[in-house]
Amino acid sequence: MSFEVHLDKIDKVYGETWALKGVSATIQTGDRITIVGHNGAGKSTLLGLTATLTNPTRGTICYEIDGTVAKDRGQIRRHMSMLSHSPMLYADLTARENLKFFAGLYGVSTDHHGIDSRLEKVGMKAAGDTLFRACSRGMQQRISFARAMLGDPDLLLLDEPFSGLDKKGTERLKNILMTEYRHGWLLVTHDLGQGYEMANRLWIFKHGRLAHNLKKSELDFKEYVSLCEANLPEEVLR
Amino acid sequence: MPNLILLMLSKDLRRELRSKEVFLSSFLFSLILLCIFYYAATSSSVAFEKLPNTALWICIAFSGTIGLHRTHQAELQNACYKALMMAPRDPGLLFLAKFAANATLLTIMSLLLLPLIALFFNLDLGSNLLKMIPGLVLGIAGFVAIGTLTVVISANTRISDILFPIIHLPLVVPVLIAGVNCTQKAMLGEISWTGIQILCVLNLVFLSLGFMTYAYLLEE
Repeated sequence: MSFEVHLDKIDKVYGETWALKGVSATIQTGDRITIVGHNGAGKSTLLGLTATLTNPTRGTICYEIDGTVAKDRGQIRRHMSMLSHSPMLYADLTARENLKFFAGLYGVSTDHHGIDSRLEKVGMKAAGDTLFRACSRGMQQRISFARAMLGDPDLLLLDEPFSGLDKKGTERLKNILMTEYRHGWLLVTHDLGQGYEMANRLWIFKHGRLAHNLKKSELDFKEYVSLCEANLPEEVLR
Repeated sequence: MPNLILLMLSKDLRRELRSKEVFLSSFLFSLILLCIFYYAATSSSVAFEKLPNTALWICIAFSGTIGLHRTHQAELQNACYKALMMAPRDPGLLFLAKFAANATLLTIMSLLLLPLIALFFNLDLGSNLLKMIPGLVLGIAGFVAIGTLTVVISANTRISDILFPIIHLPLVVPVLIAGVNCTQKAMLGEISWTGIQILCVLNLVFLSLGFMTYAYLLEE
């Protein structure tokens, strides 16, 4: 199964603020892309656009499934899932009820054991019957991770996925992503070390522009950090 | 389709049974309205026999508006609506499922209100209750169909709690007029077929509109 996303000259404007300016790139099947950039650089906007949650002001986003251009949003969404710092789960349902609801909604067949094994994977089986609102921030993020992984998506859209997690929790989820999950992701993070470690492609955003789109093999970590910290030349910003 | 409705309904009912947010706010508000109506009626020369029906629909209109806003706020909390939008489902079907869940909650609340109204206004509902059901259910369905749409329109603004009733209440006037007509006749032992027909048409129009436009309204 191949799933590719082609971004062509994407602009996104909110009122008079440019969130994204002329972004063109391709997300190929299995690409593990880390996106970094300062606050307001357009990283989360790009995830929202890719997730089909919002439309670009200008430009086009083209989705290709097994080499065929897909237009139907339902079909496209079947291949993607999103995890952000908002947990996207209902506060008044238990962890198990939340996962069961979203499994049904996403058309994933899971019995009681299926839900339990997913909770166990993120270390939350014991909290399965706890109301989501009663879970700590870190527990909520782990359960939310289990939700995002429900349909074994071809592309995961991860917006600060480890926020609120302790070191053990972060390692656990990172391990699942790196060893068990076989597909690609777009990972937005402010942790340069973690982002570099988890990627095979690196996108650096500055002022709404995709300033650098590099293969990880093209640069070492020091060069990566200096690229992230460098300012864009004046003529590019104009 | 039925699975999706059942899924949404069981989720919303379970949430409501736990939090009682919608029920408490809507039902208590209705109770206060009924008290105001009762004391206003007893201290004036208003025709007492016409008040139960008026009180019923005013309670539905105002507490229903509060309830619809609360249920939508629950979707916005924790950005749950984004996970709903990401579902590989036709957004039109999501609208119908959400409509069914909202309509069920408001119907339950209204049915619980009926004995209270009978008590406050000394009304004998027994013989005419069945005749009231079609007008009441269709009226609530129309009210909720419009509300499920308008609550999403107003949600993307900073003043959603003020904007929602401002958009919603004028739009539901035709539904309320037809609903009031149906239940008033039912209380007198008659059935208003014209009212029922109007309500069926209004339901069809707004459910179709919601089915076709929900995808666009959900997008930011």
